[in-house]
Amino acid sequence: MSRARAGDRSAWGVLVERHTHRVRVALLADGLGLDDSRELAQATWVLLWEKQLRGELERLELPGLAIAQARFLAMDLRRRRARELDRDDEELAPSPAPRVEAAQTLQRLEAALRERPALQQRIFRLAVDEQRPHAEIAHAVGLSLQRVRQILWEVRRALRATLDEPKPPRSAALSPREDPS
Amino acid sequence: MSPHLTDTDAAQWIAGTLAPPEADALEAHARTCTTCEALLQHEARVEALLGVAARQSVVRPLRPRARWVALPLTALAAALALLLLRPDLPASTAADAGVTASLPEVPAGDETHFDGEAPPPEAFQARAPFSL
Repeated sequence: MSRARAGDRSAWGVLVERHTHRVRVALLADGLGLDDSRELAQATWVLLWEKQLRGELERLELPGLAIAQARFLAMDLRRRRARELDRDDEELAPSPAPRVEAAQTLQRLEAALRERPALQQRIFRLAVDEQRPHAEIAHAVGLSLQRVRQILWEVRRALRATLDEPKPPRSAALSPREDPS
Repeated sequence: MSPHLTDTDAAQWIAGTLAPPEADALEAHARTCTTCEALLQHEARVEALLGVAARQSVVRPLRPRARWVALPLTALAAALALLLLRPDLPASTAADAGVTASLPEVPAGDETHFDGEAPPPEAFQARAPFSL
Protein backbone atom coordinates (compact mmCIF):
# COMPACT_ATOMS: atom_id res chain seq x y z
CA MET A 1 0.00 0.00 0.00
CA SER A 2 2.79 2.45 0.89
CA ARG A 3 4.63 1.59 -2.34
CA ALA A 4 1.47 2.27 -4.31
CA ARG A 5 1.06 5.62 -2.56
CA ALA A 6 4.64 6.42 -3.48
CA GLY A 7 3.71 5.95 -7.14
CA ASP A 8 5.02 2.43 -7.72
CA ARG A 9 3.07 1.30 -10.76
CA SER A 10 3.55 -2.43 -10.15
CA ALA A 11 2.38 -2.11 -6.55
CA TRP A 12 -0.62 -0.22 -7.85
CA GLY A 13 -1.29 -3.07 -10.28
CA VAL A 14 -1.34 -5.56 -7.44
CA LEU A 15 -3.92 -3.49 -5.60
CA VAL A 16 -6.07 -3.19 -8.71
CA GLU A 17 -5.96 -6.94 -9.25
CA ARG A 18 -6.77 -7.63 -5.64
CA HIS A 19 -9.71 -5.24 -5.23
CA THR A 20 -11.36 -4.91 -8.64
CA HIS A 21 -13.69 -7.84 -8.10
CA ARG A 22 -14.87 -6.36 -4.80
CA VAL A 23 -15.56 -3.03 -6.48
CA ARG A 24 -17.55 -4.74 -9.21
CA VAL A 25 -19.58 -6.74 -6.71
CA ALA A 26 -20.46 -3.51 -4.88
CA LEU A 27 -21.67 -2.00 -8.14
CA LEU A 28 -23.69 -5.13 -8.99
CA ALA A 29 -25.29 -4.93 -5.57
CA ASP A 30 -26.31 -1.38 -6.41
CA GLY A 31 -28.11 -2.68 -9.49
CA LEU A 32 -25.56 -2.06 -12.22
CA GLY A 33 -25.00 -4.64 -14.93
CA LEU A 34 -21.86 -6.66 -15.53
CA ASP A 35 -20.67 -4.49 -18.42
CA ASP A 36 -21.24 -1.26 -16.53
CA SER A 37 -19.54 -2.65 -13.43
CA ARG A 38 -16.47 -3.60 -15.46
CA GLU A 39 -16.21 -0.23 -17.17
CA LEU A 40 -16.83 1.77 -14.01
CA ALA A 41 -14.32 -0.27 -12.05
CA GLN A 42 -11.68 0.48 -14.68
CA ALA A 43 -12.61 4.15 -14.72
CA THR A 44 -12.38 4.19 -10.94
CA TRP A 45 -8.79 2.94 -10.93
CA VAL A 46 -7.80 5.42 -13.61
CA LEU A 47 -9.30 8.25 -11.55
CA LEU A 48 -7.58 7.11 -8.37
CA TRP A 49 -4.26 6.74 -10.18
CA GLU A 50 -4.58 10.27 -11.56
CA LYS A 51 -5.45 11.61 -8.12
CA GLN A 52 -2.44 9.79 -6.76
CA LEU A 53 -0.17 11.40 -9.36
CA ARG A 54 -1.53 14.84 -8.48
CA GLY A 55 -0.90 14.14 -4.80
CA GLU A 56 -4.60 14.39 -3.98
CA LEU A 57 -4.87 11.06 -2.18
CA GLU A 58 -4.36 11.61 1.51
CA ARG A 59 -5.17 8.01 2.34
CA LEU A 60 -5.41 4.86 0.28
CA GLU A 61 -7.86 2.70 2.18
CA LEU A 62 -8.92 -0.11 -0.08
CA PRO A 63 -11.30 -1.36 -1.19
CA GLY A 64 -13.44 1.27 0.60
CA LEU A 65 -12.01 4.24 -1.28
CA ALA A 66 -12.37 2.54 -4.66
CA ILE A 67 -15.92 1.44 -3.92
CA ALA A 68 -16.91 4.97 -2.85
CA GLN A 69 -15.36 6.40 -6.01
CA ALA A 70 -17.06 3.77 -8.17
CA ARG A 71 -20.43 4.51 -6.58
CA PHE A 72 -19.94 8.18 -7.33
CA LEU A 73 -19.29 7.33 -10.98
CA ALA A 74 -22.31 5.02 -10.98
CA MET A 75 -24.54 7.80 -9.69
CA ASP A 76 -23.24 10.05 -12.44
CA LEU A 77 -23.93 7.35 -15.02
CA ARG A 78 -27.48 6.89 -13.75
CA ARG A 79 -28.13 10.63 -13.92
CA ARG A 80 -26.86 10.81 -17.47
CA ARG A 81 -29.06 7.90 -18.49
CA ALA A 82 -32.04 9.38 -16.69
CA ARG A 83 -31.56 12.62 -18.62
CA GLU A 84 -31.35 10.67 -21.86
CA LEU A 85 -34.60 8.94 -21.01
CA ASP A 86 -36.08 12.24 -19.83
CA ARG A 87 -36.77 10.86 -16.35
CA ASP A 88 -36.66 12.68 -13.08
CA ASP A 89 -33.71 11.88 -10.78
CA GLU A 90 -36.19 11.34 -7.95
CA GLU A 91 -37.59 8.35 -9.79
CA LEU A 92 -34.21 6.71 -9.36
CA ALA A 93 -33.99 7.36 -5.63
CA PRO A 94 -34.64 4.28 -3.50
CA SER A 95 -37.83 4.33 -1.46
CA PRO A 96 -37.61 4.05 2.34
CA ALA A 97 -39.47 0.70 2.44
CA PRO A 98 -36.57 -1.45 1.21
CA ARG A 99 -34.31 0.25 3.76
CA VAL A 100 -36.55 -0.83 6.62
CA GLU A 101 -36.69 -4.31 5.17
CA ALA A 102 -32.90 -4.36 4.86
CA ALA A 103 -32.53 -3.28 8.50
CA GLN A 104 -34.73 -6.16 9.64
CA THR A 105 -32.84 -8.59 7.44
CA LEU A 106 -29.59 -7.34 8.91
CA GLN A 107 -30.80 -7.98 12.43
CA ARG A 108 -31.63 -11.56 11.51
CA LEU A 109 -28.26 -12.03 9.87
CA GLU A 110 -26.38 -10.61 12.84
CA ALA A 111 -28.25 -12.91 15.19
CA ALA A 112 -27.56 -15.91 12.96
CA LEU A 113 -23.88 -15.03 12.77
CA ARG A 114 -23.60 -14.74 16.55
CA GLU A 115 -24.97 -18.28 16.82
CA ARG A 116 -22.03 -19.69 14.89
CA PRO A 117 -18.95 -21.00 16.76
CA ALA A 118 -16.42 -18.29 17.60
CA LEU A 119 -13.81 -19.55 15.15
CA GLN A 120 -16.31 -19.55 12.29
CA GLN A 121 -17.36 -15.99 13.19
CA ARG A 122 -13.75 -14.89 13.20
CA ILE A 123 -12.97 -16.47 9.85
CA PHE A 124 -16.11 -15.02 8.32
CA ARG A 125 -15.33 -11.51 9.55
CA LEU A 126 -11.75 -11.69 8.34
CA ALA A 127 -12.98 -12.70 4.89
CA VAL A 128 -16.11 -10.63 4.47
CA ASP A 129 -15.53 -7.58 6.61
CA GLU A 130 -11.75 -7.17 6.47
CA GLN A 131 -11.49 -8.63 2.97
CA ARG A 132 -8.41 -10.65 3.86
CA PRO A 133 -7.27 -13.25 1.30
CA HIS A 134 -8.25 -16.79 2.22
CA ALA A 135 -4.63 -17.95 2.37
CA GLU A 136 -3.83 -15.18 4.84
CA ILE A 137 -6.81 -16.17 6.98
CA ALA A 138 -5.73 -19.82 6.93
CA HIS A 139 -2.32 -18.78 8.18
CA ALA A 140 -3.80 -16.50 10.85
CA VAL A 141 -6.12 -19.15 12.31
CA GLY A 142 -3.84 -22.14 11.78
CA LEU A 143 -6.10 -24.10 9.43
CA SER A 144 -5.66 -25.35 5.91
CA LEU A 145 -6.82 -23.18 3.05
CA GLN A 146 -9.35 -25.82 2.07
CA ARG A 147 -10.80 -25.93 5.59
CA VAL A 148 -11.09 -22.13 5.70
CA ARG A 149 -12.98 -22.14 2.40
CA GLN A 150 -15.20 -24.92 3.66
CA ILE A 151 -16.01 -22.98 6.82
CA LEU A 152 -16.74 -19.84 4.84
CA TRP A 153 -19.08 -21.80 2.66
CA GLU A 154 -20.85 -23.29 5.68
CA VAL A 155 -21.29 -19.91 7.35
CA ARG A 156 -22.56 -18.34 4.15
CA ARG A 157 -25.03 -21.17 3.68
CA ALA A 158 -26.28 -20.84 7.25
CA LEU A 159 -26.68 -17.09 6.97
CA ARG A 160 -28.37 -17.31 3.62
CA ALA A 161 -30.89 -19.71 5.10
CA THR A 162 -32.09 -16.85 7.28
CA LEU A 163 -32.79 -14.68 4.29
CA ASP A 164 -36.20 -14.81 2.76
CA GLU A 165 -35.50 -12.23 0.09
CA PRO A 166 -37.22 -13.36 -3.10
CA LYS A 167 -34.86 -14.41 -5.82
CA PRO A 168 -35.19 -13.18 -9.36
CA PRO A 169 -37.45 -15.43 -11.41
CA ARG A 170 -35.77 -18.07 -13.48
CA SER A 171 -36.67 -18.51 -17.11
CA ALA A 172 -36.25 -21.73 -19.01
CA ALA A 173 -34.40 -20.20 -21.91
CA LEU A 174 -31.75 -17.56 -22.26
CA SER A 175 -33.30 -14.13 -22.08
CA PRO A 176 -32.31 -11.53 -24.60
CA ARG A 177 -30.73 -8.49 -23.03
CA GLU A 178 -32.95 -5.47 -22.72
CA ASP A 179 -32.19 -2.63 -24.98
CA PRO A 180 -31.77 0.46 -22.75
CA SER A 181 -33.00 2.70 -25.50
CA MET B 1 -25.56 -22.37 -25.66
CA SER B 2 -24.06 -22.39 -22.16
CA PRO B 3 -26.29 -23.40 -19.27
CA HIS B 4 -27.72 -20.98 -16.74
CA LEU B 5 -25.79 -20.26 -13.58
CA THR B 6 -26.81 -22.21 -10.52
CA ASP B 7 -27.19 -20.48 -7.16
CA THR B 8 -23.87 -22.01 -6.15
CA ASP B 9 -22.17 -20.74 -9.30
CA ALA B 10 -23.43 -17.25 -8.63
CA ALA B 11 -22.48 -17.29 -4.97
CA GLN B 12 -19.00 -18.56 -5.78
CA TRP B 13 -18.51 -15.99 -8.52
CA ILE B 14 -19.51 -13.21 -6.14
CA ALA B 15 -17.31 -14.58 -3.35
CA GLY B 16 -14.40 -14.68 -5.79
CA THR B 17 -13.60 -18.29 -4.99
CA LEU B 18 -13.65 -19.61 -8.58
CA ALA B 19 -10.58 -20.18 -10.69
CA PRO B 20 -10.18 -17.38 -13.27
CA PRO B 21 -11.11 -19.46 -16.35
CA GLU B 22 -14.27 -20.71 -14.66
CA ALA B 23 -15.17 -17.25 -13.39
CA ASP B 24 -14.65 -15.78 -16.86
CA ALA B 25 -16.84 -18.45 -18.45
CA LEU B 26 -19.69 -17.79 -16.02
CA GLU B 27 -19.41 -14.06 -16.54
CA ALA B 28 -19.38 -14.48 -20.31
CA HIS B 29 -22.69 -16.30 -20.08
CA ALA B 30 -24.22 -13.84 -17.60
CA ARG B 31 -23.32 -10.90 -19.83
CA THR B 32 -25.62 -12.31 -22.50
CA CYS B 33 -28.35 -13.51 -20.17
CA THR B 34 -30.46 -11.08 -18.15
CA THR B 35 -31.71 -13.87 -15.90
CA CYS B 36 -28.23 -14.86 -14.79
CA GLU B 37 -27.09 -11.26 -14.58
CA ALA B 38 -30.03 -10.60 -12.25
CA LEU B 39 -29.02 -13.63 -10.21
CA LEU B 40 -25.50 -12.23 -9.84
CA GLN B 41 -26.95 -8.87 -8.78
CA HIS B 42 -29.09 -10.66 -6.22
CA GLU B 43 -26.08 -12.56 -4.89
CA ALA B 44 -24.09 -9.32 -4.76
CA ARG B 45 -26.80 -7.74 -2.61
CA VAL B 46 -26.75 -10.78 -0.32
CA GLU B 47 -22.97 -10.51 -0.07
CA ALA B 48 -23.25 -6.82 0.78
CA LEU B 49 -25.74 -7.64 3.53
CA LEU B 50 -23.46 -10.35 4.88
CA GLY B 51 -20.60 -7.86 4.97
CA VAL B 52 -22.61 -5.35 6.97
CA ALA B 53 -23.85 -8.09 9.29
CA ALA B 54 -20.28 -9.25 9.87
CA ARG B 55 -19.21 -5.71 10.71
CA GLN B 56 -22.15 -4.93 12.97
CA SER B 57 -22.30 -8.20 14.87
CA VAL B 58 -18.86 -7.72 16.36
CA VAL B 59 -19.10 -7.56 20.13
CA ARG B 60 -15.62 -6.55 21.12
CA PRO B 61 -14.72 -7.87 24.58
CA LEU B 62 -13.38 -5.36 27.09
CA ARG B 63 -9.67 -5.46 27.55
CA PRO B 64 -8.59 -6.59 31.06
CA ARG B 65 -7.54 -3.09 32.04
CA ALA B 66 -10.79 -1.63 30.74
CA ARG B 67 -12.73 -4.01 32.99
CA TRP B 68 -10.94 -2.65 36.07
CA VAL B 69 -11.88 0.86 35.06
CA ALA B 70 -15.39 0.11 33.84
CA LEU B 71 -16.70 -1.43 37.06
CA PRO B 72 -15.94 1.48 39.43
CA LEU B 73 -17.08 3.95 36.80
CA THR B 74 -20.39 2.17 36.42
CA ALA B 75 -20.87 2.15 40.20
CA LEU B 76 -19.99 5.84 40.39
CA ALA B 77 -22.39 6.69 37.58
CA ALA B 78 -25.19 4.76 39.30
CA ALA B 79 -24.51 6.52 42.60
CA LEU B 80 -24.53 9.94 40.97
CA ALA B 81 -27.75 9.13 39.14
CA LEU B 82 -29.38 8.14 42.43
CA LEU B 83 -28.18 11.34 44.07
CA LEU B 84 -29.60 13.49 41.31
CA LEU B 85 -32.94 11.70 41.23
CA ARG B 86 -33.67 11.86 44.96
CA PRO B 87 -36.34 14.57 45.38
CA ASP B 88 -35.59 15.05 49.09
CA LEU B 89 -31.94 15.76 48.54
CA PRO B 90 -30.84 19.32 49.39
CA ALA B 91 -29.05 21.08 46.58
CA SER B 92 -26.01 21.62 48.79
CA THR B 93 -25.56 17.86 49.13
CA ALA B 94 -25.49 17.48 45.42
CA ALA B 95 -22.98 20.29 45.22
CA ASP B 96 -20.87 18.62 47.90
CA ALA B 97 -20.87 15.49 45.80
CA GLY B 98 -19.34 17.51 43.00
CA VAL B 99 -22.10 16.92 40.55
CA THR B 100 -23.58 20.38 40.11
CA ALA B 101 -21.48 21.04 37.06
CA SER B 102 -23.53 18.47 35.23
CA LEU B 103 -26.90 19.94 36.17
CA PRO B 104 -28.85 21.79 33.52
CA GLU B 105 -28.72 25.56 33.87
CA VAL B 106 -31.87 27.16 35.25
CA PRO B 107 -32.57 30.79 34.34
CA ALA B 108 -33.03 33.25 37.23
CA GLY B 109 -36.67 33.68 38.24
CA ASP B 110 -37.69 30.46 36.63
CA GLU B 111 -40.46 28.97 38.80
CA THR B 112 -39.48 25.46 37.91
CA HIS B 113 -35.98 25.64 39.36
CA PHE B 114 -34.92 23.08 41.91
CA ASP B 115 -35.15 24.74 45.36
CA GLY B 116 -34.22 21.78 47.48
CA GLU B 117 -37.73 21.28 48.84
CA ALA B 118 -39.99 20.84 45.88
CA PRO B 119 -39.48 17.78 43.68
CA PRO B 120 -37.51 18.52 40.56
CA PRO B 121 -39.54 19.00 37.40
CA GLU B 122 -40.07 16.00 35.17
CA ALA B 123 -37.82 17.30 32.46
CA PHE B 124 -35.01 17.65 34.96
CA GLN B 125 -35.57 14.14 36.27
CA ALA B 126 -35.43 12.77 32.81
CA ARG B 127 -32.34 14.65 31.77
CA ALA B 128 -30.19 14.44 34.86
CA PRO B 129 -28.87 10.88 34.52
CA PHE B 130 -27.90 11.44 30.92
CA SER B 131 -25.82 14.50 31.69
CA LEU B 132 -23.30 12.53 33.68
